[in-house]
Amino acid sequence: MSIDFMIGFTIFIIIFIWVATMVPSLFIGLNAHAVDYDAVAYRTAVILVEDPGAAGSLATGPWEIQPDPRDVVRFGLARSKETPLILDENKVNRLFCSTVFVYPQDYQKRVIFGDYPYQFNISMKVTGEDQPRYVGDILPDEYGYIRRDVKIRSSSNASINKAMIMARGYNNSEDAAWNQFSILFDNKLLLEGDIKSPAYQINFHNERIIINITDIESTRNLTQNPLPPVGTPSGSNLTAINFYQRPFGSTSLSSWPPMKKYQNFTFIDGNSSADPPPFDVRNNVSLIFEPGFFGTMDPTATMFINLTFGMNPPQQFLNNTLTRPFDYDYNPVNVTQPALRDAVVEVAVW
Amino acid sequence: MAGLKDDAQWIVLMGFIVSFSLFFIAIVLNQSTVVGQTTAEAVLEFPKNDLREVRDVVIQSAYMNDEGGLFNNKTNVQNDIRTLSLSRQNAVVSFSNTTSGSFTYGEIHYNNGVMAYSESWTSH
Amino acid sequence: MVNDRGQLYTIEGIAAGLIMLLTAFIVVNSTSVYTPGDTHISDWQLEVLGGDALNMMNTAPNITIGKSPLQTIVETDDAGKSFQPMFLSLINNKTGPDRDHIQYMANVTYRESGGAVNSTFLSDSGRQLYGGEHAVRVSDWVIVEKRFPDCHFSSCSGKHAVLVEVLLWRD
Repeated sequence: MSIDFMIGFTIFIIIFIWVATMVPSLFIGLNAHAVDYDAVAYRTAVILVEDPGAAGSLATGPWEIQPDPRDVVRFGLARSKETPLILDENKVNRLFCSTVFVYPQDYQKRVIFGDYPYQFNISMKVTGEDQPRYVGDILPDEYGYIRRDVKIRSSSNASINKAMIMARGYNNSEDAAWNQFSILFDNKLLLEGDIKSPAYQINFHNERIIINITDIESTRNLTQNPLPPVGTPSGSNLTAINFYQRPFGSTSLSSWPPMKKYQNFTFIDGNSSADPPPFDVRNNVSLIFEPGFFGTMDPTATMFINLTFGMNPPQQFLNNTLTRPFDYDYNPVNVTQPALRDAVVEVAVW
Repeated sequence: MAGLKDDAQWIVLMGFIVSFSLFFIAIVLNQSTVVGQTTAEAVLEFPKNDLREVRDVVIQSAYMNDEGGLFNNKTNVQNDIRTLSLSRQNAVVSFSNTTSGSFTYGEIHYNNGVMAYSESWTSH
Repeated sequence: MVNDRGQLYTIEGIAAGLIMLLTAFIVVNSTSVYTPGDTHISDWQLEVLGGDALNMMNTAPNITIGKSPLQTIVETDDAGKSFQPMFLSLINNKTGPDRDHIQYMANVTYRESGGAVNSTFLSDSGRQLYGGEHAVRVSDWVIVEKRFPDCHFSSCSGKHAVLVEVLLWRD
């Protein structure tokens, strides 16, 4: 070992270390992953907010009503492919439902895509709600990011209250043993009328429909037939809720039975659980039809929903056989129309 | 210099190896930036938003009418679309539409030099 | 003992060092370093977001209202000064508690009855656009019922398609 070798080698090592320390600063910010992550985040956001999603080929109905996660091929929150950025409330609720889908693998396969198992965080803040909804991990220091402004479409609903009952004459003035109240969905008017945009259309095939009938007591003649005390049968019995469809162009009604899994849709007098009829009804009936409830009906038919009340003793009650069925339509007096609320979606990928 | 031995040339060799690897890394990383760069540019250049908006407004205009020549709503709106697309979005937009009975149908052609798009649409 | 054999390792070491340094400098000069802030990524994110925001302003909250907020704003020349708060909250709101700092300037571009194209000022965020900031442009079509200043006949009143153009930049 000579001094000469020591000097030469030292010079070499010192310059090598110098160059080596230059290398990271050379490529600082030139992080190839960050660039890729931004692209993946963008793609994920596009799939989420501009696509309606897809269910498997063997499944019936849209993805958000599939009980089995394996029937969901792709998440997409848009109400329809014609209305990007208008999201469906039910799809949003389903996406953030962590009991059905397992984080992260169920999400990676259905919305992030790609061979690399990207980590992600999808969050959404709806204007007016306190807490953001999210699925995913805590953000690291560096990640790909995109933010999108969207609207969330909430479903329509109808309230039939005392004022409407009085104004429309929904109380039969005769003493009848059976009273009938019917609700009408005119598919032709709803889907092929003046309102063309799926953002505002009421499409009861794939949205939740809520019908609240309140103040039913006010239809009785309480002087002739006083209301029995609370806890005893009120004398009005919702015996059946029947569904009839009338195909387009036809005049005959045919009975349409709802699917077995949807038979609990009736809530009585503020009860929190639904049962199939019959029930004793005092004052309120709520009908909640989940998305997919009408999935098996003829898509162009008109649907009649008939509520039959058996009366003991015979008396006047909620009845519109002498007037006309309650129209579930675009009239804001009848139906609270679908509303679009502002929301912001953020996707982070790393 | 004739007395020099080549004992020490491995140091120069190591210098060369380090230099080459540095070059190699630089080229690879440079390529990957180009990938990100092109992704970003592709998103910026593809006029998805412009196209979607112009399609939307063209279809809206198809359902309008001239109110008996009083306001010329449809003619004005359709001329607005053609003129403004050309001058502000550098895109040639041409379209036509026909209404017969309850059906409205039409064609849209869009070309901004980067991409061309043609569509025939019908009301359902 | 002085002879030239003693220089062997030193010379080679210096030579190797020079080669490495030279390479490093060539690499530094030849790779144009893009940081994520330099590339077009932030432009693209801004453009997507701005397009979304305009689109949302041009969507009526329900069918009963009919007209979108943007239509009303253009028709009244933003008399209610509602463009600024609405647009700023759309582009700057995040899902978390903090807010972004995006500034904007909006114009309405329309076709005059003679065929020329003209722009009028609509709204801005109160911040000037200086040369240093890099702005992106987004636009959205709106059909409005409005008589523009150049129009003196009924044939040019009624409905018009106008472009709402917005310049966006980060503060």
